[in-house]
Amino acid sequence: MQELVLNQPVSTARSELVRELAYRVAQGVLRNTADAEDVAQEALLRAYKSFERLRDRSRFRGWLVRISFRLALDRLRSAKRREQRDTLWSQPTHLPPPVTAEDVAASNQFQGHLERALEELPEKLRLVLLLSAMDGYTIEEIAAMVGVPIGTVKSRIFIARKKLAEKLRCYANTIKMR
Amino acid sequence: MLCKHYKDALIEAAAPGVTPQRELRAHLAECASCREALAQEQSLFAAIDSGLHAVADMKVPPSLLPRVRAAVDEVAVAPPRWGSTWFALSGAAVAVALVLAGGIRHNDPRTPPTNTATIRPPVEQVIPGRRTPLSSAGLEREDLIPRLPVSVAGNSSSPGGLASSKSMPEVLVPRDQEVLLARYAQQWSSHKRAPLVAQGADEVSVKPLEVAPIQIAQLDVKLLTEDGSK
Ligand SMILES: [Zn+2]
Repeated sequence: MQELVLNQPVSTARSELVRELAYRVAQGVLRNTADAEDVAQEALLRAYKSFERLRDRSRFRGWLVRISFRLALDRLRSAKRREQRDTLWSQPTHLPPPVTAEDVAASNQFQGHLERALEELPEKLRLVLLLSAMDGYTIEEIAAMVGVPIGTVKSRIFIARKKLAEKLRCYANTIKMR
Repeated sequence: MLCKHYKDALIEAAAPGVTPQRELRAHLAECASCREALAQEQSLFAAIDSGLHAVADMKVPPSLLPRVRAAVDEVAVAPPRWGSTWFALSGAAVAVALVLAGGIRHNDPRTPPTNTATIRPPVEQVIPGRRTPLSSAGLEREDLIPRLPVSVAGNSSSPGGLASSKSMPEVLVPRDQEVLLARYAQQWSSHKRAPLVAQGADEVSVKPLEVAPIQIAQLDVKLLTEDGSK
């Protein structure tokens, strides 16, 4: 029989998307590369072990997103507990606001405030907002992943952004009412 | 005081894709202050969105795949699939080298793929513990962690099968991808493009063992004589 030769593993691209999803969800929560990598590894390993139960692609993605999110939250909480144990007093949470509105978007300070505000969002809102901010996922896909109707995804995104805006408005020095 | 009435409406209107309601539009047309406030609110939302993208679209570190693979290997305490442990380990070592090379190439779109493996169609491997094939709409385990191209003992009917399976790595694919893979492989063979590993193998010229013709001395056949038998 003739021997044939081929050049690429077939599912490299799909596997990369899966890794990306797990990592980005974890990173979105943890904001730390090493921690996010640990969490993504754990989530992917669990997914690999439980693979037989997760055949349907959309269900699988939802499962992976939830497990990554959950593991990341757990890790964040335990890190915070450690931090509280290790330090007698917490870091000051409020930094002076940026000077001009133009500086806001690029400002590291603003990004810091945004990430803090994101952390304070209810989990349901946070996950949907994170997924919506990722490149390449439609509202329909997010709805399938999270397991809620499309309308719910839309309203969660709307509420989450509004909550962020409320917290960040003072730093952005925007609306000034007469 | 009048403008405070529009505060919530301005916030709502600043979200992307939202058109201000008629009443607010009418007010905006005559109130510069609220127009400015709306613009600022819109810039706030733009800043939030760009910040969210920065949070959500982080690049995956290249170390993640080897880490996951190592973790999977660690938990894979199932009985050795491919004969002896040594065989599995050596196969994994070769495969990791191939995948690492493949991973580096993956970052450079100009570099043509050279990760080489062989397949013998029709693929009929019987692997212990192998899952049942999934539907084409379903997910493959390889979608999670791409399968390493490892050698397996295929039940090839060709006499040269065993020898070539030792010299070439093979790739395992899910049953529903075998046809695709074979077609892909066929393209390569029809392009006469010798891939990396196959090149080395082709350069080894194998000559048939030459054996000198068997020399059989002329037999001296003698009839039994009447005298000898007596
Ligand atoms: Zn006004």
